[in-house]
Amino acid sequence: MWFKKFLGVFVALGLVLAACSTPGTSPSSEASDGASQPASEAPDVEQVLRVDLGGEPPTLDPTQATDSQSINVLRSITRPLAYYDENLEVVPGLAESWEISEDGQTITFTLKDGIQYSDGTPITADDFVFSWKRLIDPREAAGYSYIMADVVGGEDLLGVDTETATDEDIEALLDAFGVSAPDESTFVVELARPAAYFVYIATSWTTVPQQEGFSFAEADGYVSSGPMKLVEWEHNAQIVLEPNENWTAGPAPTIERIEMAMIQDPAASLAAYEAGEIDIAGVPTQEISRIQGDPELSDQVLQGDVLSIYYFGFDLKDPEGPFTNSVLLRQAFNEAVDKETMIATTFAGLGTPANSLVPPGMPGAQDFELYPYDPEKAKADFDQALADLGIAAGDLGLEVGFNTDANHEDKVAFLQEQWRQAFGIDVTPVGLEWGAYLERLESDPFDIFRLGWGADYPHPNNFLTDLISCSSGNNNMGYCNEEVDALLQEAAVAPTLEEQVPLYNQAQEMVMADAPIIPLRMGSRFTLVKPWIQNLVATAQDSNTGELFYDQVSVAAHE
Amino acid sequence: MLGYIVRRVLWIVPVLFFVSVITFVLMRATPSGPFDSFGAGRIAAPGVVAQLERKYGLDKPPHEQYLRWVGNLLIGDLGPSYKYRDRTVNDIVGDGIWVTVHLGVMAFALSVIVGIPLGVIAALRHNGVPDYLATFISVLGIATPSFVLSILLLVFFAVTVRWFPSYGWQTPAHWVLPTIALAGFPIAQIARYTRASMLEVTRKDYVRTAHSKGLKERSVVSIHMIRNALIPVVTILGPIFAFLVTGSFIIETIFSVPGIGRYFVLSIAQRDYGVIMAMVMLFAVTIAVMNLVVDVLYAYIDPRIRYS
Repeated sequence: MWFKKFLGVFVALGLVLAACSTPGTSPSSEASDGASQPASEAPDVEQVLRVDLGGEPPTLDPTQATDSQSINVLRSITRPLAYYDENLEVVPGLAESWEISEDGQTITFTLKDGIQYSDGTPITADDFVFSWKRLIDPREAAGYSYIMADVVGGEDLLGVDTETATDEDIEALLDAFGVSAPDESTFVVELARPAAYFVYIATSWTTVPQQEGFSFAEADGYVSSGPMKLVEWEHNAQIVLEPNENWTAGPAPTIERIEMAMIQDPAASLAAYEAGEIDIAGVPTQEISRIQGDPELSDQVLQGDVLSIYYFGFDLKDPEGPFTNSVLLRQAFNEAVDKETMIATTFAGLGTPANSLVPPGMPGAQDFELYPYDPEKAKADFDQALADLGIAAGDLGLEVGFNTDANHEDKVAFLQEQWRQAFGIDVTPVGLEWGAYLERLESDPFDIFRLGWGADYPHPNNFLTDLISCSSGNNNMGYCNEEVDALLQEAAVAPTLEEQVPLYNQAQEMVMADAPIIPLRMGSRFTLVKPWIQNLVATAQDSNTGELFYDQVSVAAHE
Repeated sequence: MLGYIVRRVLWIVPVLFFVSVITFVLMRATPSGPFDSFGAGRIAAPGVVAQLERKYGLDKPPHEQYLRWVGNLLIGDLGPSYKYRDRTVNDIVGDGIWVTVHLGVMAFALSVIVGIPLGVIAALRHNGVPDYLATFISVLGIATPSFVLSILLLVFFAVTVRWFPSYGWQTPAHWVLPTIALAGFPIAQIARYTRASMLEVTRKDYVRTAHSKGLKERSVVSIHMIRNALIPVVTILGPIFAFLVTGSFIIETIFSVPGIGRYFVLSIAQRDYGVIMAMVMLFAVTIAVMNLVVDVLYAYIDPRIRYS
C-alpha cells in the first residue's frame, strides 16, 4: 500500500519522540518484576492473553482456511488427529495412537476415548471421514485439497473437471476415496503409494473433525474440537476464546480467556503493545533497531527461526531463455550475491543466509554452501556461460520481477547492484501489484522473479516435493530433474525420518547443484512478549508467535 | 420544488448505471482474479481456481455476470464475498456501515463546529493575530496527510500519555482519536472557505448599509454576514459529508475501526468483486444524494435561488 512506506517512517519518528519525551514512564516499566520470577503463576491474576491476529480471519471453516489469521484461531479451537510438541515432533492429538502397515500404504488411527466437541457431541471416526472427504470434494474447491493427493482416489478427485462432472460422478469418486471408519474410534487411511510423511498431513488444521451441518460464520453455533472454544466473534474487531469444558484430549487450558484483536497495520499493532493493550506483537523491520536500542523493550524480544524461505527463481520454462540453457549462468548469478550483507542491510539483520531449500528447525536442514559470495569467480563463470551460449552481455536484457506493496524494492535494488558490479550488466526491475504479478508469472514469466515459501507442516517433503518436483504446481521455475523426483519418491517410502533425511539431503544437494533458484534468506521472528506472559512456547511452525500452544500460557502478576 | 427534487432523484438512476458499468469494466479488466492466490502469497492450483470461478459464476460471459449483479441488486442482494467465504457482501456492509457513518458524522460535526468559527474569527480579525493563528492552523491541517496526523495522535495520546486506547471502537474513549484524525482536514478546509467567503461579504453594500443604519456589530455579523458567507461553504459541506460518512481507509486501518472504509482499498487488492461494486455504488449514491441535499439547502439559505 502506497502509504505504508511513509507510515513506517512516521511511526518510527513518532515512537522515538515518545520514547525520548517520557524516559521514566515507558510502557513496560511496571512489568519488570514479572520477568524476574519465571513460572510464578499467581492464581489471583486474571488469566487473559491478549494477542493480535493482524486482521479479520477470512473464514473459520477449517476446510477453507488458508491464511495466517484463520489458522491462528483454528490452532486453539480445533484439533487434528496428530499435533506437535514444542520441538515440532509429531505427537497424538485427538488420536491416541496410529499404526502404519508393513507396506506403508495403510495408516490406522485410534481415537482417544470419550472425546467430545464443545457442545458435548462425541467426536467419532466418521467425523474425520466427513471432513477429509470435504477437503478434497471438488465442489468445495479448497485451497489445500492437494495435500490429500496421496490417498487412494485422491488424484482422481483433484483431476475432476467440475464443468462436465455431475454430482453423481463426484459422489462415486468420493465413495472410492480411501478413508473409512470401521468403528467409532478407528479411522483408516488407504494411501495410493507409501508416503511416510503422511502422518504430518494429519496434523494440518484442514484435517480436523467436522460434522454435517456445522456452521462457521459466527461464534454463535460454532462447534469447537480443540482446547479452547469460540465465544465471541465481533467481525473486524475481536475474537474471544474461552476454555472448552468438554476438552479431554490433552492437558486442560491454563489460560481462561484469549482476546484476539484485529489490528491490520503492523505499526499500529506495535503501538498497541507499547500502550500495554496487547501482550504479544510482531515488530516491523524498520522498527527493529529502535527496539534493540531500547533498554526496556529489548528485554522483551523473543527471536527464533521460522520455517520459511525467501528466494528468487529463474525462468526455466522459456526454451530459448539464457537461464534455461546454462546452469553455469544460474550459478554465476548465485555467486555474485552477498547474502550476509543483503540480510544486514535489507532485513535489519534478521534471518539467516539461505544456501538450500529446507530451513533450519526442520528435519533435513543442511549446512552446505555451493555458491559462496565470490564476484571474481562469478564474473569468470558469467563470461564462460555467455561464450557457451553465444550471447553478448549487452543482449541479455534481463527482467527481475517482484510484487510491490510488500517491501521488496530494496532487495531487488540490492541484487541489481550486485549483478551490475559483478557482471557490468543492468537488469531491469519490474514491480507489479500482486494479482498482476501472479498473472505475469503464469503467462510470461520474468527472467528472474521473487517468491517465498512457508511450511504447511514441518517435514522436508513440504519444501522439496511440494515446491520443486516436476509436477508441483508451486514450481514456478519450471525446474524438472527426474533424478531428484526419483529420490523424493524413494524418501516418501522410507519408513522412518532417519532413513528419509539422507535421501532428502541427497535430492536437495542435486537441486542446489542445478541452481534453479537463488535462495536468499531463511525466516526468522522478532517478537515482543510482555514479561508477565509465561509458558509461551514459540515454534518455527508458528506464523503468529506461540499460536500452537496459546491454551497453555499463564499470566503472572503485573501492574 | 417537489418536481425539481423528483427530477433530480430520477437523474441519479442513469448516473448510478454508468458508474456501475465503468466500475465493472475496470474491475474485470484488471489482471488476475479473486482466487489466484491464497494464504501468505501462495499461488492457487489452476484446477482450484477454475472450480471456484465456476462455483461463483465467474466463468460466465461478463455481460451475463453484470446483468445478474444488477438483478440481485434490485432485490437487495449484493452477492457473496470471495475473500470472506462464509459471509455475504450484505453481512460485511451491514456490520461496518453504521460504525463508519457514526465516525463520519462525529467528524463532520467536529469539523463544522470548529471550522466555521475558526474561519469567522479569522475574517473578523483580518490580518490580526487571530487571523494568522487560524490561517496557520488551517494550512497545517490541509498540508498534513491524515496518516501523519493519525500516527502523531496515536503515538502521543495512546502510547505516551495513554489517555485514549490505541485501537478498537468499543467505548466512547475509542472514538476520540479517529474522530479528531478524520476531522483534521475538513476543519482546515471549512475554515479556509469560511474565511474567504466572510472577507468577501465584508465589502458588500448590504453590510455597509447594516453598519450605517446603526445595527450592533453582533447582529451585522450573525444576520447579514455569516448567513450570506455560508452559501459557498454549504457547497463544499455536501461532498465533505459524503467523504466522511463513507469512511477512510487510512484512519480505519490505523485505529482498527471496524467500519467499511477500509474495504475501499482492501477489496480492490483482494479482487473481491462484490465488495468493490458495493463500495463504489454506496459512495456514488451518497455523493449524488448529498449534492441534491446541498442544492435544496441553497434555496433555504439564499432567497435568490428558486427551483421550478
